[in-house]
Amino acid sequence: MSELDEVLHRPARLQIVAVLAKVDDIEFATLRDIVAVSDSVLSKHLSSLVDAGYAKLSKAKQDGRQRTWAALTRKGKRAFASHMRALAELVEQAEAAIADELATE
Amino acid sequence: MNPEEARAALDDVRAVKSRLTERTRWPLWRHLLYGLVMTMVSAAPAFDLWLQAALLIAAVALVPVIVWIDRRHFGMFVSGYQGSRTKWALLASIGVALAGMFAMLVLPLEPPEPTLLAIVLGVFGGSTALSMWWERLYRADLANEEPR
Repeated sequence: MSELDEVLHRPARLQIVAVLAKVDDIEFATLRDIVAVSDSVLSKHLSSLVDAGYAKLSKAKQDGRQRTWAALTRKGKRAFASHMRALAELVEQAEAAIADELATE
Repeated sequence: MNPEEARAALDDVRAVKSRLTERTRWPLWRHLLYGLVMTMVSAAPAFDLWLQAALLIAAVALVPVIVWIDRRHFGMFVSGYQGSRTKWALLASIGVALAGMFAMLVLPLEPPEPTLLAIVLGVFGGSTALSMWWERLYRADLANEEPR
């Protein structure tokens, strides 16, 4: 049985990690548009993910402006996969319980 | 967390992946660029040592250029190795390049031999087509992938 991850409990944070899991790295503004959150909300969640060792940030100059890039770490990938399995198991168990209940009626 | 919250969290992940799917469309020129790199590597053995070295150096130098272009134009970089079904497109593409390279090594080809041109065009077309197939698989995986 997989375990739910406290760091990934918040919906926006889970969405950020879901995107990071499918790219090598992504620019801050692109990630913000895809997750549909404000700059400050994204900054806050990315800081929490970095603190947990789940994400890493880097800065690179582009068109004369400093831009932030985010990527998932190996630890973050493992945590995300485990959290997703735990969520799926939780839903499957609930569905199995409902099916059992209907069968016994 | 209760099952309803878990279901909502999974729905949120599906929704954001769907939005990512909309953003991950690479134009034809980007696939042609990939085809060019694979063709340069594949065709190198047909030429003399200096041209071989020049082609291989140019191909290796093009890789960071492609990464830079992807980051600048699309705001993200997605490498070829993304697991799931995309690995079949990647393996097929490597297979096409290696087959082309093998043909260059074993067939007595001298530029501008028509067979050489046919192999080069075949590798270029095949690699470009496989890059486009890779994109389709990647986007399909994003849309349908379930937790494992």
